[in-house]
Amino acid sequence: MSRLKPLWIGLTDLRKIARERRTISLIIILPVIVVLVVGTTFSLGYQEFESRELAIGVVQHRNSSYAEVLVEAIVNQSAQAVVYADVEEARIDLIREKIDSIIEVDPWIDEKIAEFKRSWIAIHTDETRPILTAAIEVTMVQAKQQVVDDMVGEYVLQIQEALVPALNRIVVTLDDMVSGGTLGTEVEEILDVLGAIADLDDEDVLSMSATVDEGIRDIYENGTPQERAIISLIDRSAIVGSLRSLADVKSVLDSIYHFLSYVEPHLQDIDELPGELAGDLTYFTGNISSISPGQAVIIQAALPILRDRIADALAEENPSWSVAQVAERTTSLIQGTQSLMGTIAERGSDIANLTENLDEAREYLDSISLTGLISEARQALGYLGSMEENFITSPIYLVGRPLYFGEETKRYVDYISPGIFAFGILFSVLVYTVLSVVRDREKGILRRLFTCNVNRWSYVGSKCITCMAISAIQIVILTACAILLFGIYIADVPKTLILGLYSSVGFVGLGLLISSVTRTELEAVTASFGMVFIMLMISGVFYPFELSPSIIRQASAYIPITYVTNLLKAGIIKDAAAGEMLVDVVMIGIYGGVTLLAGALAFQWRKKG
Amino acid sequence: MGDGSATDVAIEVRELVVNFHGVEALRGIDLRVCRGEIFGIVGTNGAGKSTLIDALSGMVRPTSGSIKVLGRDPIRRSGELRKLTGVVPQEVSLEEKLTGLENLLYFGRLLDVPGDELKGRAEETIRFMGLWERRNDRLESYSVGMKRKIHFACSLIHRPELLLIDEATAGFDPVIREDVSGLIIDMARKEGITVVLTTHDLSDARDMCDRLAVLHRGEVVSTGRWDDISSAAGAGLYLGGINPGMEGKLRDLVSPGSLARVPGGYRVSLDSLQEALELAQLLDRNGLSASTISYGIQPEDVFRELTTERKGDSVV
Repeated sequence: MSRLKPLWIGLTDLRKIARERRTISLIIILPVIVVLVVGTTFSLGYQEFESRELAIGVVQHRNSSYAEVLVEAIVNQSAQAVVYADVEEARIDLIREKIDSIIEVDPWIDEKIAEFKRSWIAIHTDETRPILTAAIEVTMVQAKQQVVDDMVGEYVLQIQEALVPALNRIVVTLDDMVSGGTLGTEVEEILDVLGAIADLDDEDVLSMSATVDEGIRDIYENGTPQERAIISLIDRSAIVGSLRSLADVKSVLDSIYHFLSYVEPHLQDIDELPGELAGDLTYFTGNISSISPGQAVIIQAALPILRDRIADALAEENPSWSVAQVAERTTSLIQGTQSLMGTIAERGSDIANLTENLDEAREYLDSISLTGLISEARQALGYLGSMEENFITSPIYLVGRPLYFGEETKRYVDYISPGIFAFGILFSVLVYTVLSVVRDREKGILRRLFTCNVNRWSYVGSKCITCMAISAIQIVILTACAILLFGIYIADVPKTLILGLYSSVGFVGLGLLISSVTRTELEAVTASFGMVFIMLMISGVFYPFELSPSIIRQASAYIPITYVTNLLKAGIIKDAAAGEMLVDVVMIGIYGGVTLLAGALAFQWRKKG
Repeated sequence: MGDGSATDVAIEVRELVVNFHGVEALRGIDLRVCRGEIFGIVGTNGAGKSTLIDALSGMVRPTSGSIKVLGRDPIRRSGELRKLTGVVPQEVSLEEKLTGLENLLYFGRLLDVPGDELKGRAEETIRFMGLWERRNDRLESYSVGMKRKIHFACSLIHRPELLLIDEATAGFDPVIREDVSGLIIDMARKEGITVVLTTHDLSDARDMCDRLAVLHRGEVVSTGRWDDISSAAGAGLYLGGINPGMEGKLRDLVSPGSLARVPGGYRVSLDSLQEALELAQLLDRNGLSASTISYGIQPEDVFRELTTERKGDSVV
């Protein structure tokens, strides 16, 4: 029976609460009202504020094309752009809150981008308005994305609109030729297309990947925390890799072009091409290697003597040639041959090396598979072709992916929803614990419980039970409000409930400690509200934590609501696995355990004095 | 009842000292309460009555000295002792949002009353208190007297051997006071419960208690039956409504040191009723007319007598 005392006390507390409208309104309804107000403010008001009411000053020291693009981008974000020529003038307006932020454009932005692919844009914000700053950064990142698109999109559009279809056409043609043996009629067209590709500057294609890579690195190193967070979502290697593949494909196709140009006069059947070439080389090198330096000198000397016989042979072989043509070709042949023989006579030792090199070339030609080359080209082009259009035109994906949500949900109210839950739990548990203990002590209920053989551990246990029950009701109401009224994204409702109940125990000990140092209900309420307010301010529940000063961020590590918010964030937004929540679960457990122990030991049954 | 043998002793306190933050709330208390008696602890506000009850119930740890309640140390064997003891705190400490019967069931369950007996006992107790008709009404709708009865009942539900009552009748009107006094006497006589109660009202103590201890500034200044204590304090003649301007004349007519100023008049210590009659006649002859004249022992006087010197009150 005595083991069930916490349960009996807890159930009786709940019965009392159910019969006491004032307590219900204070503990359960008030946080819900707060949630409704906060939710409405941030889900409706903030959205309007974000989209229509931002006034952003743009300082242009000189008129530049990029600054114009930037202004246009800001306007496209539905914000109001106010153009200034002088930064000081803009800063005065920012101080007077005539504008919400200033964007200062590098005076030499056009020149720097053209030459160095690097420039700067400064954002001036009012640090006393952190939420506004967050909204401005979002707007600016979106605007900056448009600028970046303008810088790099031009190159990539060329790839998509001109090069990729051309390359595809080549590959298809080559494939048809290999499989259908129609080389003779197609080869001229192939060479035209390949020639056009070869005319493209290799450096342009290569520098594209380097430019994109450099841009991403720059944001990693110099971007705002929000930009860095967003850029971390980009698959950088995929973008850069795609552009590098393009460079690789081009070099392969250029090789094919030069190769075809060389062999085109002799091609009859593409499948026979490598073997035919190899045979010619074998024949050539075999003949060359059979001529000794001595023979070469003799041949060199004999050629003028044999001139008439050579001319007769050429005339006989080419009956259509005129006498003059025969004479010209005879001279040419004798001179060429004499030159070759002269080389053999002078550099006899190199002949062997030449032969060896030619043998290697023959082996290489033997190994060439045009079918394989086409397959590789197809694969590379398939990779390029499979890239989505917006992915290619916007390789640096700066915004559009909020930190925790999918594409659809990126409202500020979604960001703060775990904080609202944490606030509800903190408020109800802390206020209820402190108020009920102090009131019971003032009314002598604790004294009577003591005489009824209830020990402090049973009483602490009963408070945990009651608080968990209150939190359960609270979370159900909050979840219903969040989903039905504001459409807030909640990944897993049962998990949210479990985490919320666990979190509630983390605040009971703190409530007991406060109740031990307060004597009256007025003191208790004042202390509870003060504690709730301080913790909300330090933990950054209602605004992006990253915007807090470092001292506040350090202080937040020592208060439980930080971990409760993180835990609920993991459960509500991220749908995190158990391992990802371990730190927060452990910290809440340690905090809850220590404060419960301290609260139980400091617990007073009687009024002081 | 009386001093009692060792086996009849319900409470034995020896040299009890309790300090709070350097202040001695109880200073060397010696007490012995017998089983079955109603024992009153009388004293002014701040005399240490509630602290003594707290020490007896184990809520306050003695600084020095020893306490045995029903043969047990209230601190070391508190769990065992609380099942045998009922404590009625000074304030009505009940759950206002629960009904009278629910309060009894709640505290009965906490006092480890067996589940199969709990409902029967609660109903029997509330019937004993005369509140059967109101048993299902929430306590917040009860009168002060009714709440007080439930307050008592919640301390009786587990049928204790000893009942410790702190300020049993404080703040009640005469009707409720009479009800509560009757209830305490009924419980002690019918149920055989030992009762220790504190009060600052000597009239209540005289009417209810078998024996008394007068507590002043943390010390017991007198112990015994009412008759013994009042005899020790002595009787006197009370003169009400005498003009203060006549005090000099009055002083000339009575023995030095026997005249004391009391609220509303003067008191003259005398040894017999005969002396009182003679003095009354003397005063009349000397033109000292009092609006009220009475002779006897008033509880307030007993108390005053026992604490005057210590309080430093002036003697005329």
